[in-house]
Amino acid sequence: MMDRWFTYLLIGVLLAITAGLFFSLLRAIRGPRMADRILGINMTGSLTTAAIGVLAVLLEQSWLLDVCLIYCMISFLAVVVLAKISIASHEEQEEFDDV
Amino acid sequence: MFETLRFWIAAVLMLCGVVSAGISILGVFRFHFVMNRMHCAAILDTVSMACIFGGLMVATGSLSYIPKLLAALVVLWVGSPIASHLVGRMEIATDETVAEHVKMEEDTDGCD
Repeated sequence: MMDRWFTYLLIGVLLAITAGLFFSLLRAIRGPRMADRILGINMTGSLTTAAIGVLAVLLEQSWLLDVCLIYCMISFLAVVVLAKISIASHEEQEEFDDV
Repeated sequence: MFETLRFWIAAVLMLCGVVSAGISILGVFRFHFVMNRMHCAAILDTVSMACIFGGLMVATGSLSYIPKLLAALVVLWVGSPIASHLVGRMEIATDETVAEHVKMEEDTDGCD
């Protein structure tokens, strides 16, 4: 009896996360600044991590949580690399403008 | 009885997570300054994820799930401030008009 309610709950959470994913992707596409795009990517990564976690519980597949763990590490790495690249390219542009 | 209690605790936690994620996303669209938007995005990484993952832990109640869920939550919590710090540094370094919104001490670039 309760299993059915747990399934409904998890599907509801998954739908809400999907809506959130849409809006965070929209933020990443619209910008307007580079920081907004990176924030959008960061939010998308976090929501995807949550979605994988919910799926792991819903489908009763604990190995999906390993994917979830790796995904949040890669998401963090992507944000760090994008921010570093953006800072470096801006500094390079400033040096070029000075010359 | 115990199953019902477990369901309601998980439901309340996940609902809190979803509502705080909604507030966070709303803030990301409503605020005009990027640092404020960054603050809103940080709510999603911390409060929402803690509530959703906490709800999942209660929902499963299994030792094959809880440590992995906890590990993912810890990685998110450790990574989020570092990522926010880097994005903030990037914004200070690239935005020439940032001084109009943020008061910074002299002789620093706002990053120390």
